Amino acid sequence: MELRPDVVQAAVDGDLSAQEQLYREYAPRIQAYFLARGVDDAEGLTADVFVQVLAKLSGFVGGPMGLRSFIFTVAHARYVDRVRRRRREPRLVALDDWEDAGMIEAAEEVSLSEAANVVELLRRLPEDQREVVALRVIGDLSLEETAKVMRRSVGAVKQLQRRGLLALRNELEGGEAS
Amino acid sequence: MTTESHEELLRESGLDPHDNAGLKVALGRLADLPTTVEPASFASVLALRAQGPMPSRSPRTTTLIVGAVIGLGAGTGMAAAADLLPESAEKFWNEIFPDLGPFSDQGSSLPLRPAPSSTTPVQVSVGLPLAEQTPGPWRVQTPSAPSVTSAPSVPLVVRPNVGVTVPEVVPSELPIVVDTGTGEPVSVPEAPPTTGPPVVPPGQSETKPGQGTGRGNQPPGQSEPVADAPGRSGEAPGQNKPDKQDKPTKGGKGNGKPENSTDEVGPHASQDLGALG
Repeated sequence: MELRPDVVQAAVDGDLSAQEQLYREYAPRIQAYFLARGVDDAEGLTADVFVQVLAKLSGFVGGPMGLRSFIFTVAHARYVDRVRRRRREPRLVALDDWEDAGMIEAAEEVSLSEAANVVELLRRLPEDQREVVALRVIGDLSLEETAKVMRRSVGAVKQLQRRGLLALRNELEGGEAS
Repeated sequence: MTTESHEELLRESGLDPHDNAGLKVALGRLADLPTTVEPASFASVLALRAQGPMPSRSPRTTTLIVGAVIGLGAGTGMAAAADLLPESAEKFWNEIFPDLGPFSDQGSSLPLRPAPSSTTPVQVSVGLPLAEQTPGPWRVQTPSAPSVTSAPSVPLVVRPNVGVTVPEVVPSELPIVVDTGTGEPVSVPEAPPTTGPPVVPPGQSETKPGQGTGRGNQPPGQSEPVADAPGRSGEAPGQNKPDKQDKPTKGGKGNGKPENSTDEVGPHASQDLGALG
């Protein structure tokens, strides 16, 4: 369900209640997007996105659809920032995970029964394919909107989408076979 | 995204939905990924926003921000923060907590006000620069346990940019001391607030002597952001001064690592967003 245009406009005009509606509508989707991208602190990064979105909201033009695209553009940018930063930081691993490191292979063979498994399968896809699938499925963005967020051509996004879905299907079939 | 949309997605990619039922189900699960966004977290977003510009654009911001949001249930709460710009803080306070009395700003720090019960969860929101520079663990100290900064009842685990949750804290006249892990605690003055700025540990803030604005009660040079300088660190190697009053027992390592050497190299993706909105 999309926000009504008048709610979007009220949020743009600084109405706090409208901004809260905006947050309630989109924050879960953004968090899901980050979860699908494998962000360990999806909640924190989601808050980060909305701090930036609210700061940039004044003067926004584009209606509900444009707003959704804008929010995911910010989310994508924050994700890219996070990835760049993380590449230069040591990775933190919870002690439990570290102790269970030898069990990972066995865990991956668990059949697909929950959303978490889909996310796990999605993480095996190349980065750009994952991005397209996440933006299209979780963000509910069109091909054009996805292309704009990723700064790719629509054709390129379509190709990535096809490859991503095929790869995901292969992963699914692999999981079922095992 | 609806089931029809998933089918359309498959067709766009040249895949027959009927032959790819498993994939369609997987997409459905992905679209319905469960999340944990709570209504009250919007207050945290507003608190973070009130703290000023996004730290990612100025990673070496000098202002050390320690804010706090005391949850009283969904949609209501109390807030206090150090180093908020007075006008931002007042606006934030009045808009979000209109029923909690007038905003009081006696300096650059705001008081934490008493929560209704000693078991009220307290969330301490830590500004992103500090949280990123010092991943934690952090601890909070309260008057009820003035000398026990590592008490199991008040552990803090920083969640950068969102805050930390204190399971049980006595908020009455709450001077919070957050051990940043560098051995230098950051104080949020107890109510009524003192007039000085919060204690800023060496290395946690970059200052340019003499170039501060002197805004509010902050002396010049205490709060102005300094442009990022890769490789520079405000923390000298081996700095590890314990708190004079309450010696932290853990988290006191100061490794002198130039934290901001990990800041952005190259342009921020987020900086490319200027054309939007």
